[in-house]
Amino acid sequence: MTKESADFERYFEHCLLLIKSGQADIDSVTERYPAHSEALRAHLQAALWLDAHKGALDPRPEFVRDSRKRLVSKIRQKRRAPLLWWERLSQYLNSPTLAPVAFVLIVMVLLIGSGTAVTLSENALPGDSLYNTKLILEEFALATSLDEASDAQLHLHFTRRRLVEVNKLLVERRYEQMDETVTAYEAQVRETLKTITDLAVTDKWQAQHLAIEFQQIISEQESILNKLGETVPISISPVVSRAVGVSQSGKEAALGLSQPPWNVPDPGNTPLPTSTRTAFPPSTSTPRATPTSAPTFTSVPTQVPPTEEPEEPPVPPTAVPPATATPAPSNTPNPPTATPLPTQTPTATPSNTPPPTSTTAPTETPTATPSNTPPPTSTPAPTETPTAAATSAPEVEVTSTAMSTPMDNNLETPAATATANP
Amino acid sequence: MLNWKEVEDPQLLKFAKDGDSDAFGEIYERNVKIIFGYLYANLDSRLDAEDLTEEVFLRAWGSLDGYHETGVPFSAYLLRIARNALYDHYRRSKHRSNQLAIENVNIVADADPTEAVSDNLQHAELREVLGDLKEDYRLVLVLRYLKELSPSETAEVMERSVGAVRVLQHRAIDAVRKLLGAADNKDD
Repeated sequence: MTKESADFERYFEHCLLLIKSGQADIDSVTERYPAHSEALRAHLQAALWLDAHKGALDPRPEFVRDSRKRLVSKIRQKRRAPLLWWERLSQYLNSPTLAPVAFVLIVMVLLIGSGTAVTLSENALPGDSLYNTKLILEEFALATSLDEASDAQLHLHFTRRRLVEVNKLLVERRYEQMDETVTAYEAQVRETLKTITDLAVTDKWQAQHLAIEFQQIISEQESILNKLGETVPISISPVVSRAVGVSQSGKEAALGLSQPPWNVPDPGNTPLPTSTRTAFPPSTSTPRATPTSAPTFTSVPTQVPPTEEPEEPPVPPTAVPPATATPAPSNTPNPPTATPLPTQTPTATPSNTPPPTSTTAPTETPTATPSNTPPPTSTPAPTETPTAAATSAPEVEVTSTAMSTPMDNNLETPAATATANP
Repeated sequence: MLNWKEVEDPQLLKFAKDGDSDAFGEIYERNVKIIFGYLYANLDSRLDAEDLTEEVFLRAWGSLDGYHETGVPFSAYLLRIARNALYDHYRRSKHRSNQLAIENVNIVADADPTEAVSDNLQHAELREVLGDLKEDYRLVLVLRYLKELSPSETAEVMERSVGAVRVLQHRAIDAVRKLLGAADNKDD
């Protein structure tokens, strides 16, 4: 476009604007550009003629309204619901070319047996044909479990499954199953917490272990859930938020169950989750630590002013439980952020020491008695873990290499031996 | 509940691609004027234009997965579908070109008869002029002067540069001017 024609276009646009806005008429605007007066007039007349006819190309409002409704309705009809497994199978069987293939497949499936089906169903997601199989197998596993601990362990496993399902559905953008999956996840979390609470009546140690594991499982998957939640459509956000809320409430509840001293649930007043969606048992111990800080159940004797937690009876320093397996944090390369908790004086007495089924052999566990222990004059003060200073660090020294392993790992690590310094 | 009016085009398209029919309803509302205007500028019958408009959006829904946002606005994609639908319509119409002229009369049940007649007259005049123009002239006039899109919006929809659109509209107006002059001379 040459400069001259560009100028002409600019004059033309300007004149047209003035006329359309009622500020001038053709005669007055063309007078402003005498060099282009005639050409401008002709172009303006043509443009104004078109402008006068523009209403003729507008769609009728009723048409727009009705047509939109019709369109949306047609689209909804066109959207195909996902086929169920037998519908897919019948499609194959009805197809003359695919029928032999389908037959061979069926025979193969029968030959391979139910074991394969079980394996396959483990990866099924809500809406998948094998998902119901997965749920039935879960029910079966629960029905055949021998004791409460196994029940709780299974529930824990199923909680992880539900949360993984939520995440996988988000990844695969199968949003239509999201709501029911989150509801199932919520129910599973509630059931798991209830089972752990029940277990605590008979086996506190195991219940505590499971509560910590529960927190870890949720934390693991929750970070993925949060990431995925950022990418979902707005319409799905509330469902994702609900899943996040369930995870957080569940973790808080589990935190309460995991911290010593164990608040032995009284069947009468244990704040079990109710039917409301986020009403999980509130954490009974303070302060709340993040579940990633593993060694919450430290048996490090503390000298805690009893005023910090009045509801807990102060523990005399002589009642130091044996340092069964927990490494003292004094040598910990990465000190735990939330523990040891000064207020959480362990109430475990030697008689309450859990059976050493999965911990260090009790024979190698000397009982450190602070009353007889000389002051730690020769032991260098811990510099890396300030929290350790508040505990009786010099009295129990862990010589194992498994210093930074999480609590549950420590419980099962026989290498974590403890020696008492004289 | 989501207020679709506040959702921007790219987000709407994402929803629609995920199968949200309401989101596509909103896309329809935002683009129907341009598509209908383009079709009606090329057709004598309003009813045909309305039918084709619906067909265009249904085709667009069916091929939504094929639309990839690469800077081309969705309205340009719709216009391309509209153009194809128009050609198909022309082909179909060839086979029934001898049908009664009454089919070309725009009778709309709800419309006010006086308004309908006036609209029909205006449309007939418009068709008479636009019908003699090249297709891209017709399109640029529809977008710039009949649907009042800005030069940059028109350039986006037509997938041309703004400069090219200005040149095109200049020539198209010039062509209209000549046609109108010729019509006046004929009347005289």
